[in-house]
Amino acid sequence: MKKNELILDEMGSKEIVFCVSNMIIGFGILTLPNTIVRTTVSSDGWISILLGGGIAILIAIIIGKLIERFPGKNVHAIMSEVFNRTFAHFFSLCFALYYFLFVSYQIRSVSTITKLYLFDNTPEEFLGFTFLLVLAYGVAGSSIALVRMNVLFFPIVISVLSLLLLFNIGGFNVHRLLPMFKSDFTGIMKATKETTFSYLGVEIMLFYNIYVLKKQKVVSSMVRGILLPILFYFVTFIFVVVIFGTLVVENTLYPLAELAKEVEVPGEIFERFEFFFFVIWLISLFCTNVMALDVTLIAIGAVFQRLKKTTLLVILLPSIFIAGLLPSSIKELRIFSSWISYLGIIIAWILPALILLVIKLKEGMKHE
Amino acid sequence: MNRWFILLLLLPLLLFTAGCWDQIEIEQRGFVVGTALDKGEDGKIIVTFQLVLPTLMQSSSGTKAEGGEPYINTSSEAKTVFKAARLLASEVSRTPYIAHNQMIIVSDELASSEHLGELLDLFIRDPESRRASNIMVAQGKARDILEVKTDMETLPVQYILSTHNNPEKSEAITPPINIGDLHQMLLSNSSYALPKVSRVKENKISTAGASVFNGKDHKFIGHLTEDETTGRNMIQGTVKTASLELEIEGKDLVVEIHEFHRRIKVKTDQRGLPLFEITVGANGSIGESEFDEMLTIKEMNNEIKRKTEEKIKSYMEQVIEVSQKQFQSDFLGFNNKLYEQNYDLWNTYRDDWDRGENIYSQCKVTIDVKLSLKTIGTIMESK
Amino acid sequence: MDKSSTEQLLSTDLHKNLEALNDMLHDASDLTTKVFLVGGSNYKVAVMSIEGLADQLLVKKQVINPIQHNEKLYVDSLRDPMQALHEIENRMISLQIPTRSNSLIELHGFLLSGQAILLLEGVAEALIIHSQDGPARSIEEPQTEALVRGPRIGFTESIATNISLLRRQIKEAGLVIKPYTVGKRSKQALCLLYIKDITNSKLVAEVERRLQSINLDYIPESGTIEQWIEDSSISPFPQILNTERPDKVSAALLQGKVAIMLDGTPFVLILPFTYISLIHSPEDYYERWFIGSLIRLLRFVAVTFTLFLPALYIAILSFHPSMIPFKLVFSIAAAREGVPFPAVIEAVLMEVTLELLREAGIRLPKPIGQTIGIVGGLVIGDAAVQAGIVSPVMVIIVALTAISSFAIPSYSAGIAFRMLRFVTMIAASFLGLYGIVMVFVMICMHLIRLQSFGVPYLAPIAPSFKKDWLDMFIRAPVSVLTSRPSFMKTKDKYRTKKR
Repeated sequence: MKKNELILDEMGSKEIVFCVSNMIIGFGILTLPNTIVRTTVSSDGWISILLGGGIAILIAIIIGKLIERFPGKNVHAIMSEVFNRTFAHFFSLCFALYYFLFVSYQIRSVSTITKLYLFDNTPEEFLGFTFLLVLAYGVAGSSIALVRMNVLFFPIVISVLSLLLLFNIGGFNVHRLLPMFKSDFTGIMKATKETTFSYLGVEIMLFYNIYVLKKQKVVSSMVRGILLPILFYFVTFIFVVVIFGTLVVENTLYPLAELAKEVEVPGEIFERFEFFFFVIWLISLFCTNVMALDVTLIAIGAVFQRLKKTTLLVILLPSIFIAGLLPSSIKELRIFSSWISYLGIIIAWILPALILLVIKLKEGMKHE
Repeated sequence: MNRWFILLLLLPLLLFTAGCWDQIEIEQRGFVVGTALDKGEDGKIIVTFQLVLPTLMQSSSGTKAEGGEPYINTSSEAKTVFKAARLLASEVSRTPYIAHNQMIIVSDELASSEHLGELLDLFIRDPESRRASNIMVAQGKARDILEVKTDMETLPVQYILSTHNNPEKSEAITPPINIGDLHQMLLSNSSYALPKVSRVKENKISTAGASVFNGKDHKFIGHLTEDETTGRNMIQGTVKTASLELEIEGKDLVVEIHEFHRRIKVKTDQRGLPLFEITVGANGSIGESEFDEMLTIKEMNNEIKRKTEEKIKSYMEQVIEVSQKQFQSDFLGFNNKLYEQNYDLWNTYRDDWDRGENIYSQCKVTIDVKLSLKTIGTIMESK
Repeated sequence: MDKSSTEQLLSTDLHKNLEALNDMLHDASDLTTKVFLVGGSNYKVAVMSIEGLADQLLVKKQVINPIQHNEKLYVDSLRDPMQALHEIENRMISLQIPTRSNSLIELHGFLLSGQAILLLEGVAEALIIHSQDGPARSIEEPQTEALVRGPRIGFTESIATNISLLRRQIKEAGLVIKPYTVGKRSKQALCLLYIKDITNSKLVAEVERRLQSINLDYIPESGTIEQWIEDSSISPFPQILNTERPDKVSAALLQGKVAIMLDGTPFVLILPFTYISLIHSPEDYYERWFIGSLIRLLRFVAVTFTLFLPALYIAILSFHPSMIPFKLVFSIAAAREGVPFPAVIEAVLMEVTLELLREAGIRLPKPIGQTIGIVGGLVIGDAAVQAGIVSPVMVIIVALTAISSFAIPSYSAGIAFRMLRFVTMIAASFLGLYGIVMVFVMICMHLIRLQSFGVPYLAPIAPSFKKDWLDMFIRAPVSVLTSRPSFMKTKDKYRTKKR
């Protein structure tokens, strides 16, 4: 039966904001305070968070301006128009590689954390496998459904996270914010590198631009989409430092989870708020990963146009799973993750910036 | 070809039949509500778990269950806590489940010979354990504390907990410390004090007092008396209300403090060492008096005020003396204040604070107390 | 004209015609034929109708009597039988004569719809006389959709009655009622209803296209049409609403929706349908907005309970007992002592028992049916607890779940949730809370992808239409609800008159 659309498949500004925000808030929020505190003193990490956010906003503006010029086309089509097809193919494949590794890393981390906090004996691989299956189900339909999922889930995620922070106000010890501004410059820079990594995700709009049909203010929506995670990282960081103190934060792998453990639900309806928090956080991670997987499929599909989606899925899924299992220790996992982040920054942030530059130059030359 | 392919894809779903690894029925779990750690022979540790018998806990019909106590205390001995817990698991028919563990009691004897962090590592590290479990140090055998029988509460652990959770009512009780807080204290190098519990009678315990731990090796070094604990609470600012007994002209008078705030300022003295200035502000009223006339009390207002301020000051001075001279450990939190207010100075002395050169013992502390005395109760005379 | 077997037309010979029609109906016993003479002449007339479908009394009074007792018109004087027929039609019969026909197949169809046919000797054409009537149920309140406050009328099986009920509510000329005939053999009457100035024409076009694709012999109930034309029959969630209440239908029509009525069933279809309508009931609009909002929220809680409560029970009890508050955990553990089955089996057992009870309760006659519900629930549950097969907590959970599922206004959706509940229970038994989350995510994804005639199932949540939130989980005061749902893309956006 032919689909008759009363409602068009398109993204409005609200969809863009939620999409970008949800994509960014993923795994990073759990480990971020830990990595920042290692190189800064006391609460100065907030500087790094804001600095990293500034860089991310810059990138968002660049990417936004790029895709604003080509409504309804994803970056592969844009590249084909501006340069040539081979370059577009190359770019898409690199992008697909980046997101491929991204998803496998995330699946691995999700299974690790879930096993750690929710289970005891269940093997990690099984948890990751289940997650992968549900991802596959998600990707099997149209992409606009995934965007709408963000609109559905993001408010819930944000409210639960806010609840988490609210419940913890009791332990707020302002004194722990002191002393201030004692860290040295290199420390802050190192931490900024980490925070910048955790803002990766805004590049998702490069591909979801196919749904931005009307000419609209993409840039402002994207910037707004980044502001929310910045605010969130900031508040979470302050809370974590203020409640635990930097010493503990340095030694806890997942400070946000510990924060969730601290919560004592008023009325004692249930203990262990962290389960509730984990449920919501799993949903947010799912949204992030399903979009990443979808973009991988789109990117590869743009290059190999005759490949059927199902075949591609069958090849990709086991590979992702196995790739995720390759790192064998926490140290290796961290190296893995920093490689992925570097790759992401180069391909998804720097390259589009260069492309915009080239476009602007070309236009400049035309006018002369 | 297609059908076989799909079948192949579906095969992994068989994994689901392999079972639910973590499914343990709730009635098969042995709920541990209290833990006690004692010193055994040959450097071994005796671990005692207080397990609840849920069926005997039923108070649905209102009558007390016949058949005995709704809990049992079982012990086992091994070199590490983890091992001892596992031994226990092999002796008890249920899987010990520490997710509802309300408290951990360590005996002072054990705490003085072992690093506290090593002792409690299992509880801090295991995600199953409850972050909000309280820690206390027992004077004497920790196991005895778990055995206190009382009529008011069903479980000894509940009794201990509720007694302990009265810091608003008594100034000599150290505020509860849980595993989360302990983790912080273990990671820092400062000394600290944990709540103390001791068995007073067959069915009574007392939670007044504190047990001091040195930050260097996290070992127990001594107990604080009630007065010293009061002083410590005052310095740390955790006192909510207090009642002070005074003697004026041979008669007893009790002043009740309603509000208590303190500020600590860090300055530097001539020697280049930190100088701590404590400013205390308090609001109080007369709680109980042996005096005959109200008039007398009115005249004596200034005297009462002065004596109360002195009393508060003496509490604090007493405990500072103890911490600087007797224990030579800063369990009063001065280190933190230095870190917050004068980072560079803290950095200079961080390795020698209460070890090595013992800079802390050489620091001077000045105390200034201001009390405002208000009402005198609801009656004019009581005789 | 001769009767030719391939063309199946009437002949001028009355008796041949009667024979032919009788043959077509295989000598049906309820086919009544009255042959008589036109009063004052020698013309033979035959009136045929099917007893039970045509109103015999009406036919007698308004057709047979006037013709038989005709004295005014001298029919014999008319030389042409065609003219005679003409006169009979115009001057003697007081009933409506919609058309004439000479095709046997058509006549046979008319007879079976309840019309009466009049044959005149010498004319190869028959008059079709509108005389439909038949036994019909009186109008009573629908059983499954009773309200505390609201009109106590429900649709009946006769499509004419239903249309009249609706016309009484919406006295607007723009109310379009398009008739169709569906079912190759059953030739049932079906009507498509919408309001011309409001409903989006693309929607109407799509509905018509799908209706025309129906290719069945017989359509027993509107449910068959529902499954035929909805977007996805695989989904457990209904994409078309069915209701017995005229007020629901008129409210929907005014929102820009389309209704389908089928002769023979009181259940009228309303489409498109979104998830939010699952928890809407007309009563929300009849009471104050505050109460309406609160009750809607309550229903939302009911939906959550009915889907997830048993699964949560299994997950928390077997996998994460650390979540249970300290004071409660012992009573639950004590309650489960002695129960031989793991929590999963216990839950599945009780749920299946409840479903059995429910099924049984539907088929039993009214008085016994009520008792079985209560007796079954209480007694069996209690006995099971005493026997130590299930724990009391489980009984409470199951009872709560069952009550919640009854709180959902739409029966079809309630069934969907009942089935999904088992899926979540199984997921919970494998992977605890994680399993529940995964199933929840899958259900959400499915709902997001689902569409009902072009409208996303989860509108106005995703995609998000802020204006429609006033009528979603809460019900804003009447003065605020001035616009129609924007996801319907209606032509006329406002309910109120522009001042």
